[in-house]
Amino acid sequence: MLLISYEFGAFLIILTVIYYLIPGRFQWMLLLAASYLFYMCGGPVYLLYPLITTATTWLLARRIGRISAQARQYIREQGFDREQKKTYNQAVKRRKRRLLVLGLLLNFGILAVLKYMNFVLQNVNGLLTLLQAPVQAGYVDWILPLGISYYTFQSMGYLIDVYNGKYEPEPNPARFALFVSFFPQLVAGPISRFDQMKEDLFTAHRFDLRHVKMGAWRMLWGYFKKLVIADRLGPAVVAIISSPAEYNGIYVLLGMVGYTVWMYADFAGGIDIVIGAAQILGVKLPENFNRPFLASSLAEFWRRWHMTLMQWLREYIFFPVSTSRFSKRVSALAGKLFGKKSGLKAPVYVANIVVWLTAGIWHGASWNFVAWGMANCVVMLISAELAGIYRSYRKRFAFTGTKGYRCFEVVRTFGLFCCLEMFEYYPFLTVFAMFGNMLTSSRLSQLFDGRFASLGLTTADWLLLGICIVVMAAGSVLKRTRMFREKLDQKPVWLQYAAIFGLFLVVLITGAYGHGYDASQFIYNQF
Amino acid sequence: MRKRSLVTLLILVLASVIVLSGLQRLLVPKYMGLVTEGAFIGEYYQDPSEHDVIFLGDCEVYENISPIVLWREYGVTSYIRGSAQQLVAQSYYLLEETLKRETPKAVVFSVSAMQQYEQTNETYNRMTFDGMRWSSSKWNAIRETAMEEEHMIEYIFPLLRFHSRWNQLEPDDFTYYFRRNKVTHNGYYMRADVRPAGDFPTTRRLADYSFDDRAWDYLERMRGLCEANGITFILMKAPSLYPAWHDQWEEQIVSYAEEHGLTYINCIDAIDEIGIDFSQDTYDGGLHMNVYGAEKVSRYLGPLLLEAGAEDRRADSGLSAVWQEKELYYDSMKAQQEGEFAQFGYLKQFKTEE
Repeated sequence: MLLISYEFGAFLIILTVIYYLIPGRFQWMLLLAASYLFYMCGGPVYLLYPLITTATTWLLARRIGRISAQARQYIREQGFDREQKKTYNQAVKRRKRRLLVLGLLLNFGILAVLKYMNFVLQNVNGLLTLLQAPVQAGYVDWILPLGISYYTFQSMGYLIDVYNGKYEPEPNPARFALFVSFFPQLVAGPISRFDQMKEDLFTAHRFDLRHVKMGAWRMLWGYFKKLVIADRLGPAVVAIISSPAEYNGIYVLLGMVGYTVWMYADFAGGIDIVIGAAQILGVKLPENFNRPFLASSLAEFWRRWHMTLMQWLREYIFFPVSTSRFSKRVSALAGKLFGKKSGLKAPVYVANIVVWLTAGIWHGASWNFVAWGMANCVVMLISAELAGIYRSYRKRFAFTGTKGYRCFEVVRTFGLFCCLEMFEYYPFLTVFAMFGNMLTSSRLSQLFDGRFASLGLTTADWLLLGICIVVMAAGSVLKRTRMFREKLDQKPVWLQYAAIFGLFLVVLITGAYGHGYDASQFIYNQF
Repeated sequence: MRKRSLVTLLILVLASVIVLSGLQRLLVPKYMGLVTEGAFIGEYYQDPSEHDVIFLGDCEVYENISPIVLWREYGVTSYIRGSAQQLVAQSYYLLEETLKRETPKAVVFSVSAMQQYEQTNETYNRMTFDGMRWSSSKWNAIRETAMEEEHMIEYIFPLLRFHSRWNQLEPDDFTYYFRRNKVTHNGYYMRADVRPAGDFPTTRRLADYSFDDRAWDYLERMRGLCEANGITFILMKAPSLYPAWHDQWEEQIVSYAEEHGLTYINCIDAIDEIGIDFSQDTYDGGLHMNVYGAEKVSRYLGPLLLEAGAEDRRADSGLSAVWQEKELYYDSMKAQQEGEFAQFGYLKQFKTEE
C-alpha cells in the first residue's frame, strides 16, 4: 500500500476513527495489527522478514538485559572489590558482545544478502569475464521487503542501546514488534530510537483535534511536495540524467539542480506524510530534515538532511569505530609516521571513511553510491583540514559576517551537494566528463533547440513547478522560528480554512497522481 | 460564540463543496467535439417517453440503427443504450437499470460484444459509465468491468480522474459548462458522410473461438431478466464487414438462440435483402453504416420488431408530439451534414478525423 494511494487514505481514516473509539489500553495493539495489515498488503511473505528481525532482536536484547541484571545482582551479592568487579564485568561484556554480534550478523546478514547479493554477483561476473572464465554466476530474484534498511537499522540501534545499557529491554514482544513495524515509518523512516518512541507508542491517547489537525496539515504539505513537485519533475530529470550523451551542456546543470530538488521534494514529502500520519495517531516521530538547503557548509548540510540516518551512523558507527582498537592502532602508526597531530586525527579519518562507506552502500547496491559516499567523505575531510584557514579568514575579513556572504555560503553548499549527487546517477568517470562538459559547453541557446521540449513537460507544467518550488522554499524560510502551520493555527478560522483548502486544491488538481502518471513510488522506499 | 463558529464552519464547508463541484464540472470531458460517444448514455435520462424496444450493445447498435426511421415508418418507439466498446456485462447492468424506469416489449442485444469480455481501454469504460446515473446497477457494473488501474472513487468523484486536464482545457469546456447539446437521436449517432468500403486487413485465425464464460453468463442474465419481465429478447448481428464475424462465433450464437427459442437476426446474411451498398452506405470504409445504411437496416428491422411485440404507436397524440420534435432535429442534422459533406467533402465537426 503506497502512502499516496486512495487505499492508504481510507486505511488511515478508518484506523483513526477506531483508534480513538477503543479504550486507550488497546490502542497500541490496534496499531500493531494495522501495521502488519499495512505491510501484508504487498503479500503475506513480506511480513516474514520483519518478523524474523523482531523475534531475533527481541530475544537477544532480552538475553543481554537478563545477563546485565544478573551480573549487577551477582556483584551486589558477592561484594567484589574494584579489581574483581572489573574482571567480572569484562567477562559479562564478552558474553553480551557474543549475543550482540550474533544479532548484528544475523540481521545485517539478511539485509546484505537480500539487498546486495546481485551486486556481489555482478562484480563476481565482471571479474570472471576479466579472467576470461567460461562460467558466469546466475542472478537471484529474491523479494526485497519494503523499508528493510529502515527497520533493520532501527532494530539494531535498539539492540546496541540495550547492550550499552542505555535502557532496559522491552519485556513484551508485541510491544517491541510495534516499535519495529509502526506502519507510517516502516517504509521510508525516519529511523527512530526506542526510548524516544515508547512513551507515545504505548500510552493511551485521547482524541485531540489540534493533533489531528496539525497531522493532517503536515500530510497535506507532504503530498504537495511529493505529488505536485517531485512526481511532476521526476520524469524530466530521469530523462536528462539517463541520457548523458543527448543531454549535455546546460542540461547537465539542469539535471543536477533538478535531481536535487526532485530528491528533496520526494523524500521530505514522504517524511512529512509519515510524520503527519503518526501525529494524527498521537505519536511524535523524530524530524528528518531541518531546512538543509539553508546550510552554509556540507558538514552542516549533513546535520540537516536525513538527520535520523546521520545520527544513527554517528552514534552506532562513528563513535564506536573512532574509539576502536583498530583506530587506536592506526592512530599510533600515524603518530609515529607523521607526527602527534596526525596521530590524533587518524581515528576521525578512519571513522569518517567507514561512516561514508556505510552511508553510500545503505543508499543502494551500486558502485555509484560507494563513489558518492567516498566523494562526500573526501570533501568533509578536506573541509575539516581547512577549518583553521577558514577561521583565520573569517577573522581577517569583516564581510564574511554579512548576510550577503552567508547567502553565498548557502548557494555554495547547495552547488556542492548538487555536484556530489552526480556520483549517484552518472558512472564514476562520466561524472568528471559531464562536469567538464557543463563548464565548457553550456549555452542558454541549448534550451531552445528542441531538447527541452522533449522532456515531456508543457510550459504550464514548468511554470507550475517554478511557482511550487518557490512556495516550498518559502515554506522552509518561514519555518525559521516556528512551523508555518503553527503560526497559521493562531489566525482566524476562515483564514486557516482558506489556506488549507487552497493547498488541498493545488494538490488535488495539479498533483501528478492517478491515470496517466507512473511516478508514484517514493525514491527512498528502495533504500 | 459556539453557534457562530458552527455557522462559520458550515459556510466554509458549503463554499468548499461549491468550489469542488464547480471545478469538477469544468474538468470532466464534455464529449461535445470530435468524440461525442461519452455523451450517449447520459442522454437517455432526458428522454420524456417510454420505449417499446431497447437496443443494447456497442457501436454496432448506435451507428447502425435509426430509431427515428423505426418511428416514422413503423410507429415503433425505441432507444439505443449503447456506447463505444460496451461490454456484455455493461449492457446487462444498463438493461437492469433501464428496467427500473420502464418495461419495453422487446430488447435487442448486439452479439458482436460477445467476442470481448474484458475492457482494453479505460476511455471506453468512462464513455459508458460517466453518463450513467448512480444506482446499484452502476456500482456493480463498475465493480465488474473496471480495469485494474481504475478506482471506484474516481467514478464517485470524477475530479480525481480528470484533474490532470487543468492544462488541457479547451473552449468546449467553458462553452458546455452549464449546458450540453443533444448529440444522438434516441441513442443513434448520425453520420451523413460517405467513405466507401475498401480492402480490409486479412483476418487472422484465432486459437480459440469460444466466447468467454463470463460473457455467456451475462448474456444468460440478460435473457433471464427479459424472461422475468415478459420481454422478448432478440439477438442481432449488425451488417459490418470488419472486424470479421467468424463462422465459429455465428455457430455458438445460433445454437444459443435455438436452445432458448430466441430470435436471432444476422444482418450480414441479409445484406442484399436490406439493400446495403457499401460504396454509399458507410462513412468509415465499411466498419459502420452512415445514416443511409442505418436507415436501410432500420427499415429491415421494423417489421421484425412489430412481430416481436412492439406496437405502432403513431396514433398516440402525446407520443407523436414528442417524436415530431425528434424527427425535426433528426432531419435538420441530416440536412446540415449532407450540406457540409457536399460542400467540403467532410463534416466540419470531424474535420480532424482521419
